[in-house]
Amino acid sequence: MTPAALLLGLTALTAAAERRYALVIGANEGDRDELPLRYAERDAERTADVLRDFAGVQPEDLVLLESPDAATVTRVLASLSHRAAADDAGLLFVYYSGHADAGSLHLGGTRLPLDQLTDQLRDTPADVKVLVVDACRAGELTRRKGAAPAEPFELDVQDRIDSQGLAIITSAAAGEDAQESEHLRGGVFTHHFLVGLQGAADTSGDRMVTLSESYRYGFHQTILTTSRAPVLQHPSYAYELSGRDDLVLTRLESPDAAASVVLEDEGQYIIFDDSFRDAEVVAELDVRQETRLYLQPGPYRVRWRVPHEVRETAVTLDVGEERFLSGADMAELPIGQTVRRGDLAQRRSALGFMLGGGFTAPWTPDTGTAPVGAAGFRLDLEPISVQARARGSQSTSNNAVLSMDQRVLGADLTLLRMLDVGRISPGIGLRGGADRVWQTFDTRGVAPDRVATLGRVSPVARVEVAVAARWVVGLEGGLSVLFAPSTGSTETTVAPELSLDLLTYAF
Amino acid sequence: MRSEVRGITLLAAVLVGCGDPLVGADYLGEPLAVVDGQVILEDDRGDIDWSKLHVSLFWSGGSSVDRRSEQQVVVETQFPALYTITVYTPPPERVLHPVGDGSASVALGMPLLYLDEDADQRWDPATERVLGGALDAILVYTTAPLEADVLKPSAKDVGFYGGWFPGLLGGNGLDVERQRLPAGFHSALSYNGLCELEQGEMPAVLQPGDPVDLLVGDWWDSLVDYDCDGTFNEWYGMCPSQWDMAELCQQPEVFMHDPWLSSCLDLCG
Repeated sequence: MTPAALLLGLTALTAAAERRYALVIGANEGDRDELPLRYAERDAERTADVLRDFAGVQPEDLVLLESPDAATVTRVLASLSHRAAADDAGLLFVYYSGHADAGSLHLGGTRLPLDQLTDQLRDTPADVKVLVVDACRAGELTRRKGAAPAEPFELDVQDRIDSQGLAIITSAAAGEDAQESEHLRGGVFTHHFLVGLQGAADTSGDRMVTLSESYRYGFHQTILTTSRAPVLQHPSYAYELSGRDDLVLTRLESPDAAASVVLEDEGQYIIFDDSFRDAEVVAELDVRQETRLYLQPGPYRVRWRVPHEVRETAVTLDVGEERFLSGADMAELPIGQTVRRGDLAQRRSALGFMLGGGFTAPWTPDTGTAPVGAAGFRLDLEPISVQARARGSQSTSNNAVLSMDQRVLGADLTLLRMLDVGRISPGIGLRGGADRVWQTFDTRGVAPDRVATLGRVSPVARVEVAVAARWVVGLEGGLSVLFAPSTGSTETTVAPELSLDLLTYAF
Repeated sequence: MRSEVRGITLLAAVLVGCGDPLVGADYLGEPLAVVDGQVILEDDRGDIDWSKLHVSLFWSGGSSVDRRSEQQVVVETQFPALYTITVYTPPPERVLHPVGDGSASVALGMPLLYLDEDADQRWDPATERVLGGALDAILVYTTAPLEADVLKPSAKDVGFYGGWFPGLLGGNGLDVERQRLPAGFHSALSYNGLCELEQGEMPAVLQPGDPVDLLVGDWWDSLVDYDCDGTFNEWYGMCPSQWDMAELCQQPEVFMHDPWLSSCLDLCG
């Protein structure tokens, strides 16, 4: 079923403003033979926060269970049902993130049959019951959330939902794996579903996010995100209800103690929470039209990504503040860094030219430190950077008998692995090359000119500072191992090098 | 496959380095001459401070003190037995004397032993005693091959020869008649008997590798009176400068204790 059909179906859900209850469950541990998930409990915590902050669920009406067993879930749900009946509740929202299979949720070695759960929900006297399940198996890298291999998680809700108003949303269609994202630090679907509830799904612009809007948003964004991954993931849903309007899940006219950013330009936005040193992704969303997103006050970093550039700005949101952001308000990120991080979908490389100079320690005895000039180009790719340089140096030395002029002209190739930390990028690499050396002498005696070719291998350490989007200053040090011809053999010497260069990206 | 082998060979050649052996700042050039030999110690010279004894190569400036030159050479010693001098440059211009038609210049020199009191490897005539020198040889350097008879006297030999070489060229002394002397360094036998040689007799030019022994003792007795004038004024160039001599001449006892200096006594007038 398409999201449009969902919208039509969910218009029957109530917009009841009655008291709301929520049971939020997160379980990293499933069966003993299942790899633990990394972010299921974190997803549950974030869901609880959004429900409290934006969905009108009072703290005392929300129960967050982390790593519960099946009996605990059953007992708490029964308790909430009892309270809902007493208070004539309008909504009971149940969220689960963890392992599951076609027949049951896996809760720390215990199992909660889906039939039992849906039956229990069906019997709850709240007007509308919403069950959101983000469950799948865990993988090592993509963090897939998984069900048992033989029977992937699937709800045949058409057979189970009665007319009392139960909507079920699952993070993946039958036969699909749901995915955790290391980058988002959570389930892909849960992330987008929650960002939708915070305003991104408000396509009508009425500052209310309905269940159908949030599902539709989560559906599209999940497909978009997982389309970049090896496995596509399609959220699915089921419902049964009549005579009701669409259920409003979050009301954003004046959420308590919140602020908002208005993302004006089309493109992909990533919002990082800058409160922590290791900034985490608060929201990642593709914006097609002006979008308002509600956030807790605090410092954030907003990154805007379009096909050929990435821009970023830092904002600090105060309570009630409304901040409009467009690409023009942001600074372009260094092009080399964005390519190396793979931030640009349509740009996989960056080519620049570099010019620099430095010094190399003497590699022939007592010839002194020699100035070195170098020019070349740099190619940044996502996994590595490649530098090719031509280099030259000239030095003179004297003793009591003669003066020596030494000229070196060489070329080398460097493979670098850069690590981008803000505008500073340290890196390490390996360089190989060859030098042609000319030695000429001024003496009253006899000293024939000498010409030789040297082989050169060097580990390299480099630190770059992006002074502008396309300009980088680099400091590079190496320890060259030289293979020079000697009388009847090859002499190996070691010579440290240090250089400073300016790099500009042209393409 | 053949191109791959060629490529690998080229890469290996680059990695191991190819071409001329490269040198460092301590490179002095190719040796032009190597002079070595034994150090012969006279019986009564056992009290020498060997740690201060230094061998160096001196070029005669003729009778001119100002043209005297001690050339910096590489010295290896195994005192008290052996020494080796390696020469990397020709003698300085000021000790070169044109001969013949002027196409060649000649310098005469000798390894000397002195006490290098201040360890600066330079002879200070005023304070540092010369203790020995070559027993029976001198060094000859010529800028171009010397044809036979070229060292015979001619009218324009006045000057360099006029000072101390005429006797040499008068048929005695170092005469290379009938022998072509190639450019470069040579060691030649020298002895005072040169003055008694018959016309046409020739002292031998030592072959490369022949030792030049040094005598610590009354070595000046072996100096050659090249001009056969009965004095060693041809070696005055090795004496202290005229200013130093003026001072030294006030202390005649100094000359008595230093046989080498005593040969300079004539300079006191």
